Amino acid sequence: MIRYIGKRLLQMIPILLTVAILIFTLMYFVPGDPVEIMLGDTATPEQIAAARAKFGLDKPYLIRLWNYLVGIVHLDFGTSYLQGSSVASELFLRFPRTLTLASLSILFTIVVGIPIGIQCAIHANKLSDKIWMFLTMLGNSMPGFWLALLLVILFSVKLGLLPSNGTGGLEYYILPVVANSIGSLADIARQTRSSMLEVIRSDYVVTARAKGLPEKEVIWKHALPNALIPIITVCGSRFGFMLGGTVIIESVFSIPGIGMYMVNGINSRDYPVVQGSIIYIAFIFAFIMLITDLIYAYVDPRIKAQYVKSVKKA
Amino acid sequence: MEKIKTSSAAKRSGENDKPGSLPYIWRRLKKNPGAMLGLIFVTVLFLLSFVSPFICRYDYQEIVMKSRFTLPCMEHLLGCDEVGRDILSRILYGAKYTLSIGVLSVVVSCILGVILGAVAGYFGGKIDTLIMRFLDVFQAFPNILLAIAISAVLGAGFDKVIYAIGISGIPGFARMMRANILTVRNSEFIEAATSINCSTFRIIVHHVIPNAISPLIVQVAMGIASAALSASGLSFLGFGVQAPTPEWGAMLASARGYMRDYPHMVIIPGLFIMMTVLSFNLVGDAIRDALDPKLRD
Amino acid sequence: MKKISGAILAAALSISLIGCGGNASGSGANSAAGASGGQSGGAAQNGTGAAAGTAASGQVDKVVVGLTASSFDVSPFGTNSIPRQWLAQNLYGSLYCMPYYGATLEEMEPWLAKSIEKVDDTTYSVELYDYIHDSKGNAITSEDIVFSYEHLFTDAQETRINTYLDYIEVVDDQHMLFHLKKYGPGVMEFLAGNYTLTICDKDWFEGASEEERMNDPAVTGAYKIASYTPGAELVLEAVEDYWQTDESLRCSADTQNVKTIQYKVITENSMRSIALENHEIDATVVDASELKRFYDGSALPGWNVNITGGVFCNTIFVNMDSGKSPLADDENLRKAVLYALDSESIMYGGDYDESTAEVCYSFGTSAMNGYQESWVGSDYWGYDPAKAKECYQASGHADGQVTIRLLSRTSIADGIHSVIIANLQAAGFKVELLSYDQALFNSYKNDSSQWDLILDNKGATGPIVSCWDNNFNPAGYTNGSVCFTHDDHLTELLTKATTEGSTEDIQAFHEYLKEIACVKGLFTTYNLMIAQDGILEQKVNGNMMPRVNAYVFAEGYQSVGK
Repeated sequence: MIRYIGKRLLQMIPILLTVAILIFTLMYFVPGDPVEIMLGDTATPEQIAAARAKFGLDKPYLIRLWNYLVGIVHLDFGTSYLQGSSVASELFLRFPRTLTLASLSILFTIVVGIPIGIQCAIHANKLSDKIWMFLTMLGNSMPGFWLALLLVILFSVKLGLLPSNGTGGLEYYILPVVANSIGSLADIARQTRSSMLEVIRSDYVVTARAKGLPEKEVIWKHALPNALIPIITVCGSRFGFMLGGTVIIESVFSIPGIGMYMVNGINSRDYPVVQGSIIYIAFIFAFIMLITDLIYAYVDPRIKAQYVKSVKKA
Repeated sequence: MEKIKTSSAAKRSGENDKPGSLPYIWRRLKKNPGAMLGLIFVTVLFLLSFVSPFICRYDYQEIVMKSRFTLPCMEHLLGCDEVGRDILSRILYGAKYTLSIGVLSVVVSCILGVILGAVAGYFGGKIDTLIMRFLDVFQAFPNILLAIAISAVLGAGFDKVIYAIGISGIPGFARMMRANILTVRNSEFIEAATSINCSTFRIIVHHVIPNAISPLIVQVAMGIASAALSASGLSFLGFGVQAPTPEWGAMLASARGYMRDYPHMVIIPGLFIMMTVLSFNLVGDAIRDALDPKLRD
Repeated sequence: MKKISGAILAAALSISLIGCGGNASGSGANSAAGASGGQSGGAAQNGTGAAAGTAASGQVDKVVVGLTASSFDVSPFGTNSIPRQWLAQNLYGSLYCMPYYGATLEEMEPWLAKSIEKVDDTTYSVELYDYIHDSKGNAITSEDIVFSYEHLFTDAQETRINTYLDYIEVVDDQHMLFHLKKYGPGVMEFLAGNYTLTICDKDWFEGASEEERMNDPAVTGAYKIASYTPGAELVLEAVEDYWQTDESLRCSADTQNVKTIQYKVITENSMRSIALENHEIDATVVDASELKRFYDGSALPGWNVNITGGVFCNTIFVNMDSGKSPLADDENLRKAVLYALDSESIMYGGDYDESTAEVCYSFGTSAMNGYQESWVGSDYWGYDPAKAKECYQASGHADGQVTIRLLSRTSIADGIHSVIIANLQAAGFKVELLSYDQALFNSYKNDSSQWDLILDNKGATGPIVSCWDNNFNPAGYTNGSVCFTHDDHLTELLTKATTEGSTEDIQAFHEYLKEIACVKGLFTTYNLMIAQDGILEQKVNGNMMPRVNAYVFAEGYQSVGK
């Protein structure tokens, strides 16, 4: 198992390096100059040239790329042009906020989405099933930031119940989490519904029912665990989606996470910030995929057996 | 219910009716009221966006300072915005942007994705590895971030949003195409085609792609919905279509500052985005159900 | 002019002092507030100091202030940013303190420097107090000043140091001679006390880690960093053993009316006003669209409102580069453009009104030193659609035949673009809006092949001539000026206005700029500062930004923030 994890972690390295090259190249072609933003209106052309030289922006593409990659290998993501601070330490500082938002969102989606899916599966094709499926699809069709704005109007402005922005206790995360998860509820509920439907008809569930076990126990103890694997896949991919979604949600709620850092970075052409943020997110993303795979193994002994076998073989 | 079961059973047994399954999908769609409503909504909206300049009482870009922030009323059914432009006229005129961004960006990702996926899946080997590793990189971080990064390179604007969202959608299509091709590649009729010396290109275009088409249709239908959503998100962040173009996401973004006093300016474009995306979702969903009868049990 | 605008605003608001008043009489009724100083700066400060003194007995514990931007750098020589404009002088001292926007050297208040005397036009002698030390106990001497000014240029990218200052000659630990490259209104004022000029100890800086510079710098100002969470919050705490022990020598910038200042980042305008209403913050600034919640001709109950003059002029420049734009070579078309633009409607288009903005009658704003009273309401390319049409036709073009590219930024309200476009279309132009983000805008604005008209926001540190100098001095541009003028007469008039700066010189430049039809100042927006009503006065600094440390609080004020 540990060797499997190690192997997966090693596989991440070339991907992350290519991501770094890709993003560096994209940023290289982004029109606009960070120095002109920093220096403002009063700078003379000579002063601009001097500042460009200072940041190494006058060097050719390949040299800049090489320097950047060398830095990354040493876990140095460079220094923000605008804030003067190390990108790596800033990312480290901001990451917990983004992670909290994304994790709470996926938690919320699971806690709400799976029961909806189960209910729909139990009452498949009845009216309640159709209504729930329609409602989740409605959520899936809503722009998250729009819902966010409406939630702020209702809960912060009109009712004064929840804070409208910033970070702090758990209450600060309620509105952002709801806005960030609404789009994923449909996917999870739908996946749960369809895999539950398959399982409910399987022999062992029928047997469990025949034994006279209470329906609740049948569903939660016998059916659900066996329906989980495809649901976990969806959760994994939605978690990645939510990490991305935080970019917009963070900007609505002024949450100083990685997403806002990146958007500010793009707007001010603060290349090290943008590159660092994306590589960081890619790393987390890959990590989550790994965890998803490990959860599979945990849930499904057959897959676990495979890992063990492959390790033995190797 | 029985009827559906038999038809699905028929479908399962007759796996090779896929190319001809378009009429089949259409037949199933017609039976799904949600999908039909969605289809009608989108079609009507699309047509209206072209005739709206001729039938609307107000020009979509006419500024009337005295009717700034008018709430919805008989004069202005959906009210007016911060410079007194009629929101209904703008919504209808702007429909073509949202709809065409959704459709065109999926066309971009579909064409490029299908080509990449088909090539990878058909040839296999090193080409496959190369393409798939490349796509891995594209998929190594969330789609929307890639779209943002690309639109930072391309700049803001209608056509650029299409490319940004289109390109970021390529991996999904490529993977799906490759998976399908892998399943058809080893089937008998391809072997037959190869044995009679059909050119590779011919095999791909005439045999492989048509046989992988139905999952593609599902992906396209669902893709349009999410592309339209992404586009509105990009516009909202300022990377997409720019005001004063009446694209709905851009309208929403510029109305954001007035939302507390004139919520109609925010609610209405959002509602239209939602209804459009919902329509595409309903249609896509119906198609998926039609092609995957398991879900209907 | 500034007196008038100050007085009008003060009267209109019937609240506290407005910092833009050119001198004390502008807001005389509030002289107790004393943010403005006369010639004898020391005495005026005593006023402030005394006020601070009484407040000091009731020095409030804490105030939570909403900050408008999230990316900033609070290290000694950090890059300029909006938050820095608010709080750089909380942390770092400068030679003199600029008590209000546009103050002249005589009106400025001594801070680290005991005195600054003019030797000749380009030489000033500076004397420091001999007991300055930073928050970590390092003595500040001439050497540190030289070090700081060097680093401000190289690290903080403060390019004007290089433009204005030749070199600093150190006489001894407390005495220096500043040798300038140029002279005129605003030059020494800038070098003595612009908010971007932060001073810190050389040895400390060179020995400090990056971490220390960012989070716990040795400060020469009256506040030090208690905690800093990038992107979210900055908490400042009054320095207890502040070097200036003589209360009577304190200036506006080192007043310590609050013990703890918590700056909380809330980037979204409407969110800031919600935070005020929900009692999450004590004070902040808002955009025009939110003002009506707090102000209706006067501050609504529960709020303290301070509206200060705008120092940025929203301006339309015409591309004057011959051959690059249809407008450059055709005066009729340029006139058509300038007559067609209705400053007032454009202002309304941006959702501003009389209480949040005002129309400009020159390339500059009424808050700037040197803006002439006589210009207000004068014939400055006044909106005249008929004349615009006439000029357009006189150019011999058919309607819609001339297409002009308008370069602007995405951050500008849609309504402003829409009105400008509608105005120009009415005159017969076809308009193509090129709206880019700030970065792209910056790269295109110096390229004469990219645009015909540009909408930009131009400011100055005080004198209107420095605004003109920044934009029309050929030395600062590779292609003539901000709008590619190559006009020797213009440069000649500019040199006169920036060095002599007499009313006639200013008038002459203004008239000539108008005559060649290359620029039209449209409007300026006010700074809108809102606070809970337990805050009696919201002071502004020399940059028209909140000077939170000098806010005046009601007896026993308790911060609403958690």
